[in-house]
Amino acid sequence: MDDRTDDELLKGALDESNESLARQAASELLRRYQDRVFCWCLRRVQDPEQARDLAQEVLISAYRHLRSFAGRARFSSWLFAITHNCCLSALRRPHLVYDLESATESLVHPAPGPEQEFEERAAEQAALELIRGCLDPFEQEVLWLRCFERVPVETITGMMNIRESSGARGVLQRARRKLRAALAQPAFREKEVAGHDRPLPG
Amino acid sequence: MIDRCLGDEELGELESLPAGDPGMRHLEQCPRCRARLRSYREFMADAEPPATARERAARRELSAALDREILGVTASQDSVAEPSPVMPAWRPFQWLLGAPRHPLLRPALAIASVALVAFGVTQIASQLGGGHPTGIVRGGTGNGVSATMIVARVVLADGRPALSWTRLASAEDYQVLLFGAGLTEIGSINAGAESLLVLEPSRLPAAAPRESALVCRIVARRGGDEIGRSNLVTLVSVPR
Repeated sequence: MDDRTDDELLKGALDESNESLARQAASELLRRYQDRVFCWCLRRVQDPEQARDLAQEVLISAYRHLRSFAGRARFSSWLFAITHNCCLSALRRPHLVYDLESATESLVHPAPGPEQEFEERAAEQAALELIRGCLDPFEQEVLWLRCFERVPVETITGMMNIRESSGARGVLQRARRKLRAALAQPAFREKEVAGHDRPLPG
Repeated sequence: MIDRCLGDEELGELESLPAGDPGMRHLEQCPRCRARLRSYREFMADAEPPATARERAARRELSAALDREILGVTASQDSVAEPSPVMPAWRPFQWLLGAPRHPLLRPALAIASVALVAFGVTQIASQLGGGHPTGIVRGGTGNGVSATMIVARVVLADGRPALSWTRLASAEDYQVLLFGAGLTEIGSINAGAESLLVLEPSRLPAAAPRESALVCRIVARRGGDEIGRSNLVTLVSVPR
């Protein structure tokens, strides 16, 4: 096994003087994380073949963009960012509409436009404020992992080391009950109406 | 405390920050950043060993794909080193390819070819004459010859699209192989012992939506070996 650090391997991978050595260094660097990427994807999508495809997409994309990364953060966090985004977009992909007459566009997950992105961010921010206000930190994190990170319930149970027999499901049910109660309060409704009257920026 | 959330690339640095750092104080207040950090720690933890044969096969295929991309190891070298468990190289008549080079075998080969064609014509004639009431496959291969299965696109009562195929009695599981444009394999889905697969995008390979057309084939397996396969079926046809 190669005992060079990630940074040393990265430097080797970007060395243009010897292409063969550069490829070997890149291969070693990515192989070091290959199983981590695969297992992380597998825990998210829970299907080995889909996890393989996602991990392949992540690692090959990382290899092709090594030069643009060029060591501005830790290699592991950069690779995590790619893995996280790749998995999240796969999990958010809309369901296939099966129609023999349909055009291919219906199969392609469209990139969110600026309006949709704004709405998603606004919704995320509103949810963040709401859950900060009425859930304890543990419930906040479980709910966030499930609703925004799309982590399967069983995986959350393991990640958060939940010992309750109902696992993360029980925590989620409790959190949802609290949120429902908070949303039903008149103070929240008034705030919501006021928010809707606000004009959109720009 | 910093008022913005941390980017994924900043997560690695958080591990080394002191408790009173503004970044750490933000972390204490923000469920989003705490969830991301927990995911990052999970990412950095040691990978578990593969639990199933499917996971082992997936990891092997991933390694091969990386070698192809980075080191330029060709697909043919891969297949010699590690034949795919999904579709093993099945070449029962491989020996025939070398036979014409041997002068003594040429007459025998000619006679065998004529006999084979005659047998085929007889079989087709008996099929057309109603020898079999239906095309349903009733059992396994028995003599090692790959059986043919029938696959159909169906729509379930709740409107979801699905694939349905005839079972082989000796099959342990079924694999749905997916091919993109140019009939290059883009992935596979294990349907287990079921003879029905609901087509949901979450189960399709990540590359599927980029393909202009998707074609699939069902492969029946026993002990990891292919024992039967279906014809090719188009999942999405693209109007030209």
